[in-house]
Amino acid sequence: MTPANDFDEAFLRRLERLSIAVRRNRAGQAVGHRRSPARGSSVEFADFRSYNVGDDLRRVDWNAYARLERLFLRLYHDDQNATLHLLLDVSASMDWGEGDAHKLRWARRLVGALGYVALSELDRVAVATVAGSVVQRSTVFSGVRAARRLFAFLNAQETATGVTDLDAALASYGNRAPGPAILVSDLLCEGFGQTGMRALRAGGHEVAVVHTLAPDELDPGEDLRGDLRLVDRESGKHREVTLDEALLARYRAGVAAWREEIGRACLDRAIAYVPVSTAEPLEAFVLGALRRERVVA
Amino acid sequence: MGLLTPLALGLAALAVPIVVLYLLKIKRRDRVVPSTLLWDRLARDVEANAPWQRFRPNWLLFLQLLALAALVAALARPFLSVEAALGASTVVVVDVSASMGAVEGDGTRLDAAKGEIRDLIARMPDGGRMLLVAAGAQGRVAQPMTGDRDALRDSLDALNAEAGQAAIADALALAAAAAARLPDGEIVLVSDGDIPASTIADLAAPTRVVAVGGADPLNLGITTMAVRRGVAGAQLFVRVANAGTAEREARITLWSEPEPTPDDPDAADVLVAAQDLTVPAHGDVALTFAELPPDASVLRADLAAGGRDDLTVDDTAWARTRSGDGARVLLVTAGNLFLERGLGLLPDLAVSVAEPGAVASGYDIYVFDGVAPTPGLAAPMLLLNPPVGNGVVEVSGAVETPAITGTAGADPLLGGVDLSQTNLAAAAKLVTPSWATAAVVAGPDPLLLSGTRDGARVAVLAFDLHQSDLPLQTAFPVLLANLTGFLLPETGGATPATVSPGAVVPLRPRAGADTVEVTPPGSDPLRIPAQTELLFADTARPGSYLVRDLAAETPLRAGGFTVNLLDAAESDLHPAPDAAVAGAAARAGTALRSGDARRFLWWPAIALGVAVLALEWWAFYRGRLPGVGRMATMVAFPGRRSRAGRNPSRLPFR
Repeated sequence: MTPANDFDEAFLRRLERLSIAVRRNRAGQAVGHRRSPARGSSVEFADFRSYNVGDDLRRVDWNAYARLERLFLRLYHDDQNATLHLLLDVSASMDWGEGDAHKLRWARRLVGALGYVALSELDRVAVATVAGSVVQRSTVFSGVRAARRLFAFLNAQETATGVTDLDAALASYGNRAPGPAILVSDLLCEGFGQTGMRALRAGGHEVAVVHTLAPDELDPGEDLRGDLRLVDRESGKHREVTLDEALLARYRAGVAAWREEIGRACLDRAIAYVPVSTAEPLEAFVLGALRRERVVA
Repeated sequence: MGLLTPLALGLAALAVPIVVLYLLKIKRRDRVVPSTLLWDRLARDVEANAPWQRFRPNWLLFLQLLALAALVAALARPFLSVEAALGASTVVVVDVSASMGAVEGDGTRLDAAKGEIRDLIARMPDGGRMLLVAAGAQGRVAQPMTGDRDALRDSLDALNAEAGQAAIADALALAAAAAARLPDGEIVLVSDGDIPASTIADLAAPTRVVAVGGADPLNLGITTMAVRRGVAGAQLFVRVANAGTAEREARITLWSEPEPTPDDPDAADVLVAAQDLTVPAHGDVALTFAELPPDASVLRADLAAGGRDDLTVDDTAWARTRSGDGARVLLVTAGNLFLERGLGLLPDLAVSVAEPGAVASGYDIYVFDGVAPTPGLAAPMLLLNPPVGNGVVEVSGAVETPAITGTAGADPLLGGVDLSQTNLAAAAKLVTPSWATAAVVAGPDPLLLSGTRDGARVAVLAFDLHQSDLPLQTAFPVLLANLTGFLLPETGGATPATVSPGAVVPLRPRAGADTVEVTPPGSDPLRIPAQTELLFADTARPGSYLVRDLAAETPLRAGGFTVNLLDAAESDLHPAPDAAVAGAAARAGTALRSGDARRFLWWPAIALGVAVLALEWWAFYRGRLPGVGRMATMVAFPGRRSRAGRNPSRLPFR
């Protein structure tokens, strides 16, 4: 199995120059590279405000008092870190695809790459695997040195059993420290998890969805023809079809419409939506589509 | 519409397994997919997990059942009883005999026959050809082989019923000769007559007979009319036949027709006699009219039936009281009452008597009784008791009381002559010359010789009539008639007194004539340059024909003949018994009457079945990539159709 840290040195160097794009800064818990909405003690001036009783007299701008005879406090930005939430779908439907296009392996490497980006920016990284619910939560990684543990955690993840229920899984994850949350999933569940995404948004997360589909899901191969009984990998349910070119054309059109539908739903809720075929090389995807969609910067 | 193998309809039960296959769900291969979610979007209708599915009528099932029905129908060999189709080459022989002119309904039998033939022309296949043969007195080609329907119809319309018998056998032989040269040649005979079975059986080409004619004809007809000349004068003999099933009343009227002359071409007929008669069913009545006018030349009998009479051509007949002025006979004798009376009783002979040594010329027959003929005379002559050194036959002596020991039975001279009771006192002893044969012999000696010497016929009777009892016997006038007939066949009976319409009449003009003038009834005279032997064939119209031999416009002789139907078979209008015709056709190995051919429909049924199968195949594979394996699947398991495959358009993408 391809490990999650199967990256060459050049790619890692390029990852280190990236950062997770955050539209709204939030208060963190530790010093980091991200400007906090709270005022702090950094060297960068932010604003003035009137003095109130009990304020630290050391922050009074005496020069202003000399000119205006009023007490103002000098406020400085407070640089803090952010927590990146990485949600990896490990449902049975993700166990699909050949070689590098295997959806779960591809998704795991993406999560590893995104985690490395965050850790190299001194952000904290929390990883959770989801399927029918939250399967496993990692500890919160922080610091570049934690990357090794992050990869080890990812490499240990296996396919879960049961039916995917992203709504329930995302809803139960929502009460964490707000921050950017990236869901890597094939969204193969009823309602494609939009209720769960809304719950994440309500919990203050900036949500991005990387929608991974294997190439033969987008365009079934030549061997998928004839009178077939299609068996669902997760539920075991089956569907009888007789596949011919006409029906496959309808299937392809249906998949495209489905992705458009998800895209519209995400746009309405300010959720970044990045569909991808796992046939695409990971490096090109991270440096290309993810930057275009401003998931990373 | 019928079925040759109706048991094959049992195969229609195959429709049950076809429908069952539609009810059975098909076995599908299992394929694991990440999720059926996306496929659910294609086909929302979830099937129950049961071996049967709800029956849903669809076009493919309908087409398959239709194809099955067509193929089963083909196996049952359906056929239509239709009029037999025509082959590529057809020779149609149409009977134009007198009986075809019989009126039935609105038209004649010939009209009905034309209708049948028009049907044949209409049913002639594209590229087919037809030859039209009219069977009248002779078989003749009415329309040469052609595919032009209009030309055939025109030729058909031009046909008329003749007044005589039909030479069916001749016409069929002509048709068979034509059909034998054609591929797929076939003969169709349209007739009302009884066709001899052997006539058809002997034909090389397949022959069908189309019979025309109603079932209940009514007809009276004159079947015999002849003049008998006796010592007491001429008598007319008439026979009227009734072929119907009921007794009929009729009146027969006898007229004397004047010979047409240039001076008075329209001389009126003279009524001679009239007589009412009753003709029994299927019988006839014979009438004899005596006391005929002495100057009557042509007698005409008109028959007027009381009530319906379908055929008119046999209601009139003609007879000539004499066929001509007769042959002129010169009897050279020292005196022979027997010969004078005997020759004088023969009809149509003008007998002159001359003393020996006073022989004149210009006679048709010379009779030398006990005298030597004139040296160098080359004319028909009869020698009786020839003297020694007569120059014609060698006489080597005399035979006393010869007894007749043998006769040549087949010799026409002896027809009707019984010489067994004849006794002779003496006869000349003759040496049979090389040109003669002996008809009667007494031991080694010939008594009657005949032959052709120097181009003229000569007969020799070796004894003197006075030295025998032959003149007292009934054989004598018969022998005289035979002898004159032999010597001058053109006057002795070869030109018949009456012939059938269309028959060929031999005319032998008298020596010295340069022109023969024939005046058909109601027509202008026909002039023909005289030859030794003329054949006159323009005898289609019944009536009296006047024949005159002319030498420089001077009549040498006037005579004639009559043309009459006088045919009981033609007057009997009853159609031929079916059995006879059917037997003929059965022996010919062909279908008989129109309407009994079977047109098999299994080819159209098979074509329909294949076409429907092709349509079903196209409908099934519409929008698919055709493959041999799939086709085999379809043929083996016609029910293997998924709902999606049957009609993808019924699966809206939701």
